[in-house]
Amino acid sequence: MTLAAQDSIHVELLLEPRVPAGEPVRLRLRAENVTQHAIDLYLRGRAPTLDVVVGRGDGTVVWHRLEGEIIPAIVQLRALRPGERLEVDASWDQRTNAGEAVAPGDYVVEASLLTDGEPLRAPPRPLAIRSAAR
Amino acid sequence: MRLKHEAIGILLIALAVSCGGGPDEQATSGDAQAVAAQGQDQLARWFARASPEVLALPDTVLAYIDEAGGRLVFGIEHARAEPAARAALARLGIPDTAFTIEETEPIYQLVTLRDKWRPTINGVQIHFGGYLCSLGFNADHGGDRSFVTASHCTGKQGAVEGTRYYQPTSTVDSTVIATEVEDPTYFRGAPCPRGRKCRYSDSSRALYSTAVASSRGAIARTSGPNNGSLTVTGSFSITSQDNATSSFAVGTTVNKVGRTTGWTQGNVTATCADTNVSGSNITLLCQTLVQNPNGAVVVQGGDSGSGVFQLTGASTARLVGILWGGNGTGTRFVFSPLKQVEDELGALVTTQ
Repeated sequence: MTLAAQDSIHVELLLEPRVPAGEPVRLRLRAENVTQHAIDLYLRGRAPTLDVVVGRGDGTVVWHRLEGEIIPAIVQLRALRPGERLEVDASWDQRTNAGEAVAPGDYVVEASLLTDGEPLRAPPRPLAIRSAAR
Repeated sequence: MRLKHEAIGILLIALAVSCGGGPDEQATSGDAQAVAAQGQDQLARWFARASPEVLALPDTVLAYIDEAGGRLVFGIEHARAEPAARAALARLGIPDTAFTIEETEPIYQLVTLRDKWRPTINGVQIHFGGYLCSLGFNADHGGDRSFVTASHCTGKQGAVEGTRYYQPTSTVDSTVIATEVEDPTYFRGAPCPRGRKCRYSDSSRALYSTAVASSRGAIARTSGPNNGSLTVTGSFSITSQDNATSSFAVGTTVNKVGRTTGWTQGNVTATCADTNVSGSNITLLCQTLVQNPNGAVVVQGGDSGSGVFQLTGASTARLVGILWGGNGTGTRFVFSPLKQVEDELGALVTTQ
């Protein structure tokens, strides 16, 4: 997709800002055409491919959804009408890529939708994982 | 090789010509005064008559009014074209003091990997359904004039349902250039991991429509590897193909040309790797992984199907496989060796 198109797409990450430890974190990336004309998206994969990175406040990455993944290098043409939204869901089980449960605490979640160029990135969102005792 | 192509959505080279361009170095001060006396209206009238006449001549490049210099300017490719241009201007009664003829580099139309190509050539964009991929390589299979692209660049991966292909898109040209005729079924059972289905290559074959011309053994070439350019500047000739290798030596340098990232190059970092395809239950067996040592982006969405090749000379290549995927950041691509493509699709002739 073009840079101009990227400017015309509002991208946001939706998630609950506070979740109990051990519970799946449900994530939704929403891309909305905020212009008055249709915009073509060039999305990587047979189905839209969502990347998610969860990190600590100091920048340490604890989970990267596409870490080690090999994705088909195909592009799906998807036209978004004015006001139309594209939503892609994912879930995080609060484990690192190595399979270890993360500790309760404050995290930052970044999400992006792969295209044939620069990904469609949503602004980072904070995530607080709270222990059951709190 | 001389390529014939038809450009759609042409990008024109920006003319390095200023209409208020530099002075005519050969003009004398007397000439300048004479020209200055000629009004802009007169120049415009002369231009209207002279431009079509001169530009109809061989090896002429451009014509414009140099308003600052008060004269007409005609660009020609070389001095041999000058006499004819002067003769044409004389016939029109335009005085020598009213124009300059100067040698000018020819202006080329630039075509990219995403434009229309006839005959078709390896590495350019193809379209089917709602998807874009790259035309991997033209090949003869028995008597069939075909191209090979990725299996997942078909309507249904691992089945033949007659996927119809367009180039560059059905919107630009509604001609069906080819129809899918081979895409072998994915198998289960050893050596395929439990719960998954497998093949040894992500490849399929499409049969060309009779009226669509194709160029076998030619890979579109851009200006250089890993520079992001999609503008085609020439071609590589496939002079050989590797029908025997499944395990490429780590460190082997390979290339690909595809519609999204153009010409990219990297080194084999893993060989004969069984590779799960993200978001599916497919495993591709004995695949080759490639990365650029400097971390360049070597693949993005839309490059699927690109032929993978080794350079054997300045513009000659040995075809070694077909690209089908890569990591999310695009710094690693994965390809199926040509040997395994042929094991599944049958013998292919891909050279010129």
